[in-house]
Amino acid sequence: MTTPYENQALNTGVAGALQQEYLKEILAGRRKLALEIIMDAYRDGYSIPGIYMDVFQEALYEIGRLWETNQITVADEHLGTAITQYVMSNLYQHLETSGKQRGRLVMTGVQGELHQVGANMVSDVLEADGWDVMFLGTNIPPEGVIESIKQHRADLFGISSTMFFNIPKVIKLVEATRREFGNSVSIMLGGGAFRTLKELPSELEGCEVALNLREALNLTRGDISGRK
Amino acid sequence: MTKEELLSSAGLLIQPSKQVSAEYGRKREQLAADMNRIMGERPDIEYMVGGNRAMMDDNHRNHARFLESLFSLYSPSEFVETVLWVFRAYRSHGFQLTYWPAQLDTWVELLRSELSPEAMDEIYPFYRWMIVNQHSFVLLSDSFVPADAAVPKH
Repeated sequence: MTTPYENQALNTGVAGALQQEYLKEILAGRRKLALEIIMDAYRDGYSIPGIYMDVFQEALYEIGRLWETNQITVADEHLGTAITQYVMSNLYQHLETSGKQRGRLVMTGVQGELHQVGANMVSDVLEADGWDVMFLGTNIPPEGVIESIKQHRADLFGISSTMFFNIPKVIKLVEATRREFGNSVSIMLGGGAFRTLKELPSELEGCEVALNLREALNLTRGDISGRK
Repeated sequence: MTKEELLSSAGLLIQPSKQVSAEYGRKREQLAADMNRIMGERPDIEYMVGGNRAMMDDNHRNHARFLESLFSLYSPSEFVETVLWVFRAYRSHGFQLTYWPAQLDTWVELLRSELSPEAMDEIYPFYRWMIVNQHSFVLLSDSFVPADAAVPKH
C-alpha cells in the first residue's frame, strides 16, 4: 500500500529520494527531522539552489496536488508550507553568493496576494546567484513597493502572483513602476497566475515571465536589461 | 468534447466591454453573497457539496472574482484550465455532479435579475458555455477523482 506522498510524479534518483523523504516528514509535521534531512543533504554537497529547485519547489507542488485530490487537508498543506519556510530560514544562513555581481533586485508578492513562499524562494536562489536582493514579503501597497525600488536602486523588479484574479493588481503595479522609473527597471513576473496564460495582457507587454525557479535563474542570467 | 475542442469553442467567446466588466465588478460581492444565501437554503445542499459548505461559499466568492478578471483580461486557456481545475478539486472534495447545474443555473437567474440587459447580453455567453460544456468537464475530470471522494477531508 502506498502512502499519499509516495507519488510517481516526483523525480527519481537522489533528488527523488530526498523529495520523498522530505515530503514524508513535513506532512507528518516533524519539523526537526525535515530540517535534519535538508542539512544532511547540504553537508553532503547538495547546493542550496539545488535543494530549493529539486526538493522545496517539487515538494510544494506535490502538496498542492495532494490537496487537490483530497489526500491531505488544508491544515496539512499549510503545515507543509510553514515547515518549508522554517527550513529555508535555517538554510539561508549558509547561503553563499556566487561571487558575481548581477545587479539589484526587489522582489514582492502583489497586494492582496497571501502566498509568499514562491517569491521568497526566488529571492534566495537569485541572491545565491549574485543578485543583491531586497525581498519585501507580500501584500504590500504599491507606493511602498515603489519607494523600496527607489531606495534599493533596483535594476530588476520581480512580482509574484498566485491567483489569476490578482492580475489586475499586477497591471496597476507595473504601470506605477513604469510611470516612476520608465524603462530603467526590468520587470519579471512569476507565480501560478501566469501558468495557463498563453500570452500576457497588452498592459504587461515587455515584462518577462518565469514560471519556476529554473526559469527565473535562466532569465536573470541572460540579458534581461535588453528586454525592458 | 476534448480539451482542445473546449479551447477552440472558448476562443469564440467575445470579451465583454469595459463598462460591462466594471458593472460585474461593482456587483460581484453582492452576487456572491446572494449565491451563498440561495444555495445555502436548498434542502439538498449538504448532499450536493459533500457536507462542505465553507468550501462552497469560497467557490462562489472566487468564481465572481475570477470572472471579473477574466472579463477584463480574457484568455480562453485560462478559462478552460481554471474550470477544469475547479471540477477536479471540488469533485475530489465530495461535491456531487448535481451541484454544477444547480450552481450555474442559480448564477444565471441572479445575473438576470441584477445586471443591466446590456451587461447580461455580453456576459451570458460565458455562463452558457459553462452550462453547455459541463458534461465535457465531468468526463475530463473523471479519472482524477478518487474513489472515496464522497468523504471530504476539508
